[in-house]
Amino acid sequence: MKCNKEDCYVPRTMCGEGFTDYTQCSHFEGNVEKEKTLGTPVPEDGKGLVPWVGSALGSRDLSFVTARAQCFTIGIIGAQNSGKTTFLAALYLLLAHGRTIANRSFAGSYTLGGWETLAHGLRWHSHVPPNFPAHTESNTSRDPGFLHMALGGSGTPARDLLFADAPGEWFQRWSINADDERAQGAIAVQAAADAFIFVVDSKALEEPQTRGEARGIILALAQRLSDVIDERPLAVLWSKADAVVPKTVQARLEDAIIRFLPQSRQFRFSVLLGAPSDSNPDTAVPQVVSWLLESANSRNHVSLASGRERGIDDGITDPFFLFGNRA
Amino acid sequence: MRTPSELANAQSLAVIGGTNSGKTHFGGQFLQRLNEKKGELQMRGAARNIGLFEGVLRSLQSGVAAGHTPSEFHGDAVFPVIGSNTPPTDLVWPEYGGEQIKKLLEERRISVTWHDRVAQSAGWLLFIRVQDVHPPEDILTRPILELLAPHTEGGVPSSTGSKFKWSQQASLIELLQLLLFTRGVGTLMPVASPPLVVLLSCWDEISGKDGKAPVRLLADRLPMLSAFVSSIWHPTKIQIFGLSSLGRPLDRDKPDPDYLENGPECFGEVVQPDGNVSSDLTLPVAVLARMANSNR
Repeated sequence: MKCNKEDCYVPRTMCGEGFTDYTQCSHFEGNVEKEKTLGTPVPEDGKGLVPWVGSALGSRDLSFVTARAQCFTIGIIGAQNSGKTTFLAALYLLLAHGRTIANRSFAGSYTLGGWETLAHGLRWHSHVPPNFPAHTESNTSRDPGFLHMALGGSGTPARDLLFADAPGEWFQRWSINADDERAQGAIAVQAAADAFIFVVDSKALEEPQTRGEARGIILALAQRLSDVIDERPLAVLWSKADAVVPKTVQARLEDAIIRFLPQSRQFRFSVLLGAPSDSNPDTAVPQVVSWLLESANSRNHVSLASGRERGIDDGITDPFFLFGNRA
Repeated sequence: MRTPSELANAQSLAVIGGTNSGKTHFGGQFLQRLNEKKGELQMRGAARNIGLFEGVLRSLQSGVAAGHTPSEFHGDAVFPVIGSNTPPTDLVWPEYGGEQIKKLLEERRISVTWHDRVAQSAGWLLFIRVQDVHPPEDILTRPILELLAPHTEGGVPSSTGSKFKWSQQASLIELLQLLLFTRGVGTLMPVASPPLVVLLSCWDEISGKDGKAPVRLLADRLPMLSAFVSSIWHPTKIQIFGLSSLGRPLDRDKPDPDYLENGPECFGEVVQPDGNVSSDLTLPVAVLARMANSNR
């Protein structure tokens, strides 16, 4: 075995590169020339070639997105199993089919892995029907996951949207006790949001045995939201609108929600056949998102908190090369 | 140290495409067209490291498809070209022996060499094999009447058991996002550099085209990708072509009699953005080169 470097005669002489152990030198025959690479395999903390991994962004990861432009953050609020994640999955699927939202089309996402994971639950696989997105996991972290998408189109500057999808359990804790330490995640979501979608589970209201508890959580959440909402727009999304809720139950609950949240607007949504046509995802999803964007625009309320709080740290000062190209 | 391209003051264009995306057969037929000297582009000096494509062309002349790229082929393959309306340009297949795209998407790693080629290239030639696959069916395209009981394992909801992997569209979008970021291109403003030519390869195997122009077909089959590239790229800096390098599917073993009789020069065509068909496979490269040159 010898060294491939010219003028180096190990093992008879010292390594020409200065390695005291010449077998460590990359020129030494028998050492596989390691391919020089940029980036590292993505470990748990998500650091790699690029500052995004593709799955949901944690709040610490957001700085590179919020640094490029003001992000419009939509907080999705609702009890467990109310349909929050299904709404998000449907939104992504519509864009996957090339639909536009608020006259804008898909212009990229740094959380494609996160969206694809949701979409997986609503896709057919070899003639097996969808069994809906997996529950958003509740873990010990109080850091909500943010899903990102940019909407744009020819001639329109791209608008960055962030969706905060948190486990329903957090909101249930928040509804029971606003000071519950375990409700911090829910509080983080509402603090970050520029607008809200408050998902109300029609199916839970349809069934008499679940109705009482469901109503309790809905009203408690409505109250919590009314305490913190300020001028931010809020869409009430009656999910699983294929369910048949007794009219009086529906009407009383609607009234109560409107009393708490007078600026809200009601929408219906269902992904199943046989639901009212206005709840069809094709109609409902763009309506909800458009309305939130328009309402926020008209009130001129875009939270600067996203940029301010997260700040620009981690040494990423100009990640989108707005101020100069990378040499 | 300056590359040969830089020494020639030629701009370089990078070929980007995964395995099976059609870029290798295109390389063989591109070589054939350059040898024939009837197309828009001509060879400008000696090509470098194109042994792989010479092998492909030999296979085609024998009427069979080329096999998988043998692992001894590595490094950059370079075709230096020029045309009457096209400045000196190098068409580069960076590191074509390696599975760089796969590595980039799965491991978020890129070899320094590939990174440099992509970062320094004046334009990108992206190969996409649309095939006959429509976007996966989902609850919007094939709705269901009721939710079945979720499949559970030990009481915990689980997937249907189908292995999760990204859809083709999402992978392609992510690839472009990674390349743009690696190169340092912001996407708030429409991208002018690098310009992009998309080649929808194996065009002949796509059924139900109904005379659609390539941009329309892309919008039909890969609508999210179509939306993405239309949103991100400046409209004068992106073009979509259809490409059929071989004109028909070829077997690896059984020679095609027409190929034997007439030769690969009689096969292969591009569908231009306006829908017109041409046998000049150098056209998309010429178009990309001109878009790139107008940035200089």
